[in-house]
Amino acid sequence: MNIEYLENNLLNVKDEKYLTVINFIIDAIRDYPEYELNDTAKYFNEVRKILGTNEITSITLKDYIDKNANDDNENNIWIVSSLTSLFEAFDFMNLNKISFENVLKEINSL
Amino acid sequence: MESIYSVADAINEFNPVANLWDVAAYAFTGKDRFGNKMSQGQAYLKAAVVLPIGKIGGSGINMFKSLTAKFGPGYSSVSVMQGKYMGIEVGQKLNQLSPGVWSKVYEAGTLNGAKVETHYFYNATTGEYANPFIKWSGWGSFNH
Repeated sequence: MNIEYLENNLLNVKDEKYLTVINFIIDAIRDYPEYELNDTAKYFNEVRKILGTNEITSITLKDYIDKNANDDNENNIWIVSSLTSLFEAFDFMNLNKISFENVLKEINSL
Repeated sequence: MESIYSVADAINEFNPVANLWDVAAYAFTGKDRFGNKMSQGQAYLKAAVVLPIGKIGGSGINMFKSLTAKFGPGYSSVSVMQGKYMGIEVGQKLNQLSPGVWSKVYEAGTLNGAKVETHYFYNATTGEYANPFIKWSGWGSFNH
């Protein structure tokens, strides 16, 4: 889902918890340093490649951030910024017992 | 379509390999890699793009005093908005390299007349821009 479309339809998200999660995800996609990447599915695929696993969880995200925060690649600070926003989304989901699958369903229903 | 080509050309203009090639070609022939005559000023600008003003060794952070120092004189700012969330890891890293109040900024700008959206970290204390990049053509983050 294109995040511009997503932002234009945020008023249709009735549950504020989902709204918070989706806003973190939009933030994460904005920060990801790839030109013209604005699609949620493409972004999650990129994250899976970066993490080296199909499992996107708060644990795999935190592990990557902790191990790579000081990498000297020019794109790294934006990747870390992006994954930090995504980590916040997952942390918030854990606290509120929201599954990633349900977030994706909510996004796709907009 | 013309606008897409314009942005693609503009991005290529800051391709470090292409610019380094032009700088090397200028040093020997006074022309760019395509054989077009280049002024000394144009060669210096290309060299400046290849060698950022404030690269901080080993950190992956490049600091600029202005966005035109990064994108060239064809860049101009139109409007800005602050990013909603900036992680503490990023703030700490930037602060170690250049102390001050850092924020994440999304900027609607134009590059050689084409709309582009630029993202960067900004130190309000020192006026430095860190790791600016063009995220997309158009002003997507400003259209809602």
